[in-house]
Amino acid sequence: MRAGLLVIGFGNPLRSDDGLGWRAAERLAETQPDTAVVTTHQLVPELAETLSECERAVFIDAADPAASGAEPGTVLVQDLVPRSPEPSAFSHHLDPAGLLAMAQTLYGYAPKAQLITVVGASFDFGEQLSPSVQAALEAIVRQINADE
Amino acid sequence: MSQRIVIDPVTRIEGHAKITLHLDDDGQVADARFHVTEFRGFEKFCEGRLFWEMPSITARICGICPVSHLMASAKAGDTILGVRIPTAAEKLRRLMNWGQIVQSHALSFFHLSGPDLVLGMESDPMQRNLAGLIALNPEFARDGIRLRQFGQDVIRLLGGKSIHPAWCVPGGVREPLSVEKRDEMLRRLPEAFEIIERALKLYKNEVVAKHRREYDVYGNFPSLFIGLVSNQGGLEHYDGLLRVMDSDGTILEPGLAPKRFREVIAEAVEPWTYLKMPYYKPYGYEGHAGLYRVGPLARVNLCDFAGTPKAEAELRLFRSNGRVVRQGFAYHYARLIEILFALEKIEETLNAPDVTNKHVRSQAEVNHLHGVGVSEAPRGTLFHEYWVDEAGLLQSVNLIIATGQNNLAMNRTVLQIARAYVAGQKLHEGLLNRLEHGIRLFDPCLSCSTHAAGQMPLTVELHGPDGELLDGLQRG
Amino acid sequence: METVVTLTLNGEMVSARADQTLLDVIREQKIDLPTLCHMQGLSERGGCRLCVVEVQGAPRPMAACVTPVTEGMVVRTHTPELEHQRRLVVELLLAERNHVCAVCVVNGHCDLQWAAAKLGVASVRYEYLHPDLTMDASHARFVLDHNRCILCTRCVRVCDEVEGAHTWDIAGRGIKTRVITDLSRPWGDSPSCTSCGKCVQVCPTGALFEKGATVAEMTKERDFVGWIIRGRTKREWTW
Repeated sequence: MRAGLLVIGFGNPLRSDDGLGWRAAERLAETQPDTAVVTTHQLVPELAETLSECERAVFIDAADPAASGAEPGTVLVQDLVPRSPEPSAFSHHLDPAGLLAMAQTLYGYAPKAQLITVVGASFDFGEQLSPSVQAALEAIVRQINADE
Repeated sequence: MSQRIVIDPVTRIEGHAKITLHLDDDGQVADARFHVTEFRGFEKFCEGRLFWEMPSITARICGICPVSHLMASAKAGDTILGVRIPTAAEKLRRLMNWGQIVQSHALSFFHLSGPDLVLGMESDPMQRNLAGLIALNPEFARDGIRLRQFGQDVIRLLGGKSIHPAWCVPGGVREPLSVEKRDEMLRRLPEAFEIIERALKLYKNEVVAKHRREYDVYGNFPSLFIGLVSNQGGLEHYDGLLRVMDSDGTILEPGLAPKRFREVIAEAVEPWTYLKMPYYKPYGYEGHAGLYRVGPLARVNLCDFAGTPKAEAELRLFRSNGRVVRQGFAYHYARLIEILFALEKIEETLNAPDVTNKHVRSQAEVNHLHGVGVSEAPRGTLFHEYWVDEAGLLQSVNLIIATGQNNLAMNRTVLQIARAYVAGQKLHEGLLNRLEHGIRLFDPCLSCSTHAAGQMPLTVELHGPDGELLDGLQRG
Repeated sequence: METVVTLTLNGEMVSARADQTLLDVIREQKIDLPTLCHMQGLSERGGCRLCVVEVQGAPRPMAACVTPVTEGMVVRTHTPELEHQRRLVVELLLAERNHVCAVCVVNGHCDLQWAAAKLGVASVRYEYLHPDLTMDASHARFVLDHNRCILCTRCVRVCDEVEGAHTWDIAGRGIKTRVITDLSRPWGDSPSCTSCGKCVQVCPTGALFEKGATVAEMTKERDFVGWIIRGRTKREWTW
């Protein structure tokens, strides 16, 4: 039998807003004890197996404002489909869609999945989120709880 | 006019690697340098803190391999206290260290190097990635996942959570091992053995045959090797004596007490990289005479024997063409042998009757003002050296990390590959991949905040004899 | 006979003894009000300002721990302004010194961390001062880390009022204020310290801890002073 919701928060919790994924995942673990939660510095191959054991997965990550071109605190939600890594990212970089593809190929099943990214303001050493990212965290947690 | 290709690296990653290749007037590669443009102030900001805090502080140097820092830091703390830790505590620390060797080597072999090894260095880059690997050989990819999980589970069962910040403390460890957890680890072992035996078969039957030229070119040069061996001269990862050997097999230093490491290791700095350049002191830095290698290849070369039946048999095969293997490509084989060894040692240790003893922590005050902790991280020998005052406050901290020690050797490897594969004034994707694989042989850990598995943002620049940029390639 | 007063607390009529503080009454009514410098059994200081409440007719918020109840008082404890002010206090405390939970001995067992969590402080709007502060590890059993001290003075009060040694005190003013032992000599050299460890138990953060403790390993007995006082005054030793 598969578990329900799996939340994977990734990033570096000692790098200010890069800890968003961890903080959100930890908060969800408190508010929804049934939710399976993984916090990790990076996406690693063995998560493919964990993914193949849940009904629905949510990845939570922080994004670089320069790369995304959006204001800090902006929340981007994408529905994910299993997809092999882009040829341009041909180093051995794992992304959520790639992990889903691994789950599909290796274990014959990939769950319905979403990637939620929040544009960060600061990635300096620190354990605190910026106010705009903190506000976004609250919104994400409310949204995921509402979806359940 | 040279064409310049730029692929922006992921900006969030702090550590950043760059390779510059310099051509001479004849268009041959004259010099190659591997630069690391990352700065870390860890040694500085630990000053004034208590040495008891160091395992948890230094474990955060790296989110990927904190266990190695836990070991070296706690061991440095043991020497400041001047205690011999309880037998069970030493067994538990060793178990965690072997768990770390298994999981780290599994990632390196199966998932980071796997695509190159199984699909080929210059195969279609569209396919030469994890997905391509999975499509071609799903069992291999699943094996890598299971083996890594086993290593991670050993660490988790001992330390609680996947990586507890301070399970390992000066004087021992914080928690004894329960019978239930021991049995859980034992139950998982047979599968891990099956996986490593499949991987060894694949390496010996297919990988080597497919990479004859790479085997001859990649990191194939004489060098010194430094690492720990057990007091009896066996393969060792946690404690023991420092041994130095050259690639003819001459033993320059049979077994130095680790606290005397400064007699054999000194550090140089270069303006173009933040990574310090340790070298073998008696040979000097001049002309890189003191270049040495650490890590799996060094350890497997240095030891007189493995000491466990299966790893011992592999070690004999490893040495079938000579006592010392100098080809950098053999790092892969050495990793597999070490996984096998670690699994055998885990099994042996879990079956020892005292492994579940409750007494796992010695209490003592500060008895020595200087402490050195040395252990073997997956990537090589790790040194933590602390100076404290009578109260235990740190006056000075020096860390010598494995990747730093392989720095000169990585430069030499890059140069060798560039000489063999650079043609004309242009770079191409296959070359970039070869250079990256050359560095990956050492499984370097460059930054503490990289974000994605195995991702190393890498820039390669090709310079002409007058220093002009002829070509550049970048990957994120 | 005790004088009884009646007051309005968050819209409810409640009665109290005239010698009680507002904080006593609020806690009796099971209203959750955060505090840091208050500790049952010690004198009140009114320093942390987390227990501020709105008293009708008063020109500014009042610290409940040092405000006596009076007849007809109308008090509110959780208005948005008060919540805002409490968060601000915690943020300022976090910005003032170097509070790094990840490597702290009381991570997970810390009053400041709990207060921040309870008030929903997840980010600090002020620039961190990152002061260069020392640790005093000269005592054989205990350590003082100024980086984590919030100047609540619980250590000063417990040492003076319960142990009777008065080893601890406060030196300096404003941002330079520090807790000191015996006219600012190293703790280990203090002739007055009895090494009883009460200061360590009452310290709300990781500023005072047992030597040799590692991350998240130090827990504190929060009812420590209560036990002693009950034993001393009522001859009751049911811990």
